[in-house]
Amino acid sequence: MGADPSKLAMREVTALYLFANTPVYLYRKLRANESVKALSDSARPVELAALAATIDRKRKRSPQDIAVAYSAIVAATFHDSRDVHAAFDSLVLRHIDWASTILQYWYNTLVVTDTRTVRLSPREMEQTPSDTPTTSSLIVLPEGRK
Amino acid sequence: MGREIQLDSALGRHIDNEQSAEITMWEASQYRDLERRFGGVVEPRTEPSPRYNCHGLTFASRRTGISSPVSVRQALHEDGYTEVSKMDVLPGDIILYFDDRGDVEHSGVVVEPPARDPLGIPLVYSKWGKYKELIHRANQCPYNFATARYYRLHGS
Repeated sequence: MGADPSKLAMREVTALYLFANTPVYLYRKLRANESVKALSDSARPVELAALAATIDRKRKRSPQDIAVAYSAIVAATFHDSRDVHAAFDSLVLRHIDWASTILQYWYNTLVVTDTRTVRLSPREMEQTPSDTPTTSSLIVLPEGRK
Repeated sequence: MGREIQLDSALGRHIDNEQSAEITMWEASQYRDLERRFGGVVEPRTEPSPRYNCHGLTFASRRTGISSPVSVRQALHEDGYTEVSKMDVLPGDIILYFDDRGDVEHSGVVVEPPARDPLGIPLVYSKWGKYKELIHRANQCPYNFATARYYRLHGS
């Protein structure tokens, strides 16, 4: 089906794009925009990447076009990071100046939701003589062994 | 990507910058008066220009855009700006708007200081991203005025 930019509140996102002085500002404002979230809900990362790429290839790009491209990129960030990486990592967006900065910022601020259990096996520790003074001679092992 | 020009701080160190080339077609009639939603005292100085942004106006004489908060801090520090208390602000001082992470999201130049306004809100001019330069009350804009601070170059 493809990502449908008509889900965007075009005047709002275009204003956000035009007023942005920094990529972080643009990212945060678009993330908070309900129509960008609606676009995210309606399309997969690969489709959103394709939308951004289509705009990037246009010879004539209006502010509205660029706003849609950034909205598509930010919409993708609501999805699983692995799918976003798969969709965007090999994409070169020559005319979307802040694309990589925004994606990098998003990736750096991701909250890890995976949980992993690490099991440590207790092992014997032997006290060895030391030429230099140590501050403690007591080592407490798992299960309270000293 | 846009073009970077040679831009150095007062200490002779390069400041990252970019003249944006994203937009190649302006349909001016579609973007007229976007500033109206921010209140009455908002007066355009110029038409939209993607070549420079607010920090490009404040620190680079409108020659280019500066979009990295690190580069803004570099220019602020290496050009020798020092902070001025709100009540001591003079015309020509610069105003910086900070986001909740402490990064500079906007900057401008003071026209009328806070001390001359009954509500303590200065009149400034600033460039709103790729949009126009506007003269406005410092709180009538799409940026976080709550944490704004003022700076001056006192001279050597």
